[in-house]
Amino acid sequence: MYAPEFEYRRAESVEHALELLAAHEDARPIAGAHGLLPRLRTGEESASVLVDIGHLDGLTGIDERDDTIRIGALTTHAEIAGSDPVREHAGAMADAASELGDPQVRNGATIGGNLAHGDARADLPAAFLALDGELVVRGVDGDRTVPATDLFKGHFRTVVAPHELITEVRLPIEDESTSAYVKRRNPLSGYALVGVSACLGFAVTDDDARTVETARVAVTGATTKPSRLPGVEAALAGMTVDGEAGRLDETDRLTGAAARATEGFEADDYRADSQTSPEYLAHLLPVYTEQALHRAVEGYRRSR
Amino acid sequence: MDPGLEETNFYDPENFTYPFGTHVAVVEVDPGTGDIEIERYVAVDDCGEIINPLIVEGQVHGGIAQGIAAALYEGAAHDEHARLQTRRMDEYAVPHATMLPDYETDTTVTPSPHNPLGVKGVGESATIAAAPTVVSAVVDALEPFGVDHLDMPITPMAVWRATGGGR
Ligand SMILES: Cc1cc2nc3c(=O)[nH]c(=O)nc-3n(C[C@H](O)[C@H](O)[C@H](O)COP(=O)(O)OP(=O)(O)OC[C@H]3O[C@@H](n4cnc5c(N)ncnc54)[C@H](O)[C@@H]3O)c2cc1C
Repeated sequence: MYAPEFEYRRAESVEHALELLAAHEDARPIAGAHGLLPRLRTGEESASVLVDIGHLDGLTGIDERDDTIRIGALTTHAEIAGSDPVREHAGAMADAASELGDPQVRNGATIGGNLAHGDARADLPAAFLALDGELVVRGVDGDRTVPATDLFKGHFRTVVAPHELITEVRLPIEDESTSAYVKRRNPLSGYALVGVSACLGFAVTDDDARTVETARVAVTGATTKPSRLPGVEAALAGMTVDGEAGRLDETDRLTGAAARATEGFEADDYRADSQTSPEYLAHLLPVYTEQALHRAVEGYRRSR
Repeated sequence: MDPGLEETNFYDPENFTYPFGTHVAVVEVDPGTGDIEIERYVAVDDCGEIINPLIVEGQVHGGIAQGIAAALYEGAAHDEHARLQTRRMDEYAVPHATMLPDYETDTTVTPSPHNPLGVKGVGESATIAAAPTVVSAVVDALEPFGVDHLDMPITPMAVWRATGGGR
């Protein structure tokens, strides 16, 4: 399948890219082209002008400043997966980036493209939600920030407009916290059939036990849009995961919290394909939620 | 007319023999997720005299991969109007190398008495063996759940259903 004809424009700067995007009806930015180009070829999306931003300076790299990890929009998944600050403070994002696609895709596709695309099967959205990140989005009128919880509107639908550019992804650095992402690969596509990310923040009590103070858990792949799992988060709040309580007890409690993963979803909210059904995905969701919680808690233990 | 020497000959054997072999799979099935893991795959094939062992082993590897793919992954799905729903490579599951086990292969050599080389075919023998081998192993693993038949491809969801999931 060949993509229909389009005009290719190479932007010289972010400002130039924004001008080109504003000037052409139906223009779209491309960064790594691993998300948009396949969909132009199948006719699922169309664009008359592609504005290439992939080579622009100043939009790559990972920086740790003011309790925030700042990732330039053009940073590749391979760079994120291999970054020490991301691994240390935003483990879920490092997990998600390293689980994505194959080496070729990880070296070409960018974080900005992944989050702007809004593919409901993509890996990064779950980590982005659980880490409570935000985007810096630039338009001709200047910058605005978009919190993770506002970004996703449905399969391939986000609040980033076609004439806007994501310039930066920000992830907060939190003390006494841990995060992880686990994925069940869809054998059809390699994308997430179910991907769950958990981020837990702890309060240290007098007896040196750890009590869950903040809990953010999010799913991708299984549902029509990447979403937080409020039932699981509520069940985790105040839970002691260390100290005198035995491990067995902890496992039971994490299982109990994970069981609430399906709260609020109807059959229509799951994405079934030729080898799955909504019932099966609803069955898998708590299983992988539990794995994500264990992975996060184990990661925290190891880091202490 | 150019000068030359030309000769055509046909060999029509009076009889045939067929390649044969035995494949054995050890599988582990997780009834919680429906995941199937092939722990061990042993294939012994007999294609008579072997002229190029590398090619024979290559045929066996490819054949097992294709048989496992039929058993566990590949399935054409249609909607209620008989329209194909699995038209693209991200809708039709073809296993990647990373989704397949290591193969332990060996051969026995029983020459065909019906041709001077003693050869038999090997092209599809492993494909023919692999699908029923894997399906039989999965069905055997699920015997405690009263399962005695599963249609291909045996997807994780099919296992989950067969073991009582969704009821
Ligand atoms: C073989 C293959 C396997 C894949 N497997 C996975 C997988 O397992 N998991 C997964 O999550 N993804 C997977 N992907 C998808 C890919 O990772 C994402 O679509 C990718 O991250 C997009 O990044 P990109 O830079 O290539 O974006 P592009 O294709 O260039 O752009 C994607 C979309 O984002 C927009 N865009 C790009 N950059 C910006 C920006 N800075 N600001 C605003 N809008 C922007 C474009 O206009 C377009 O709409 C796979 C892709 C391929 C080809």
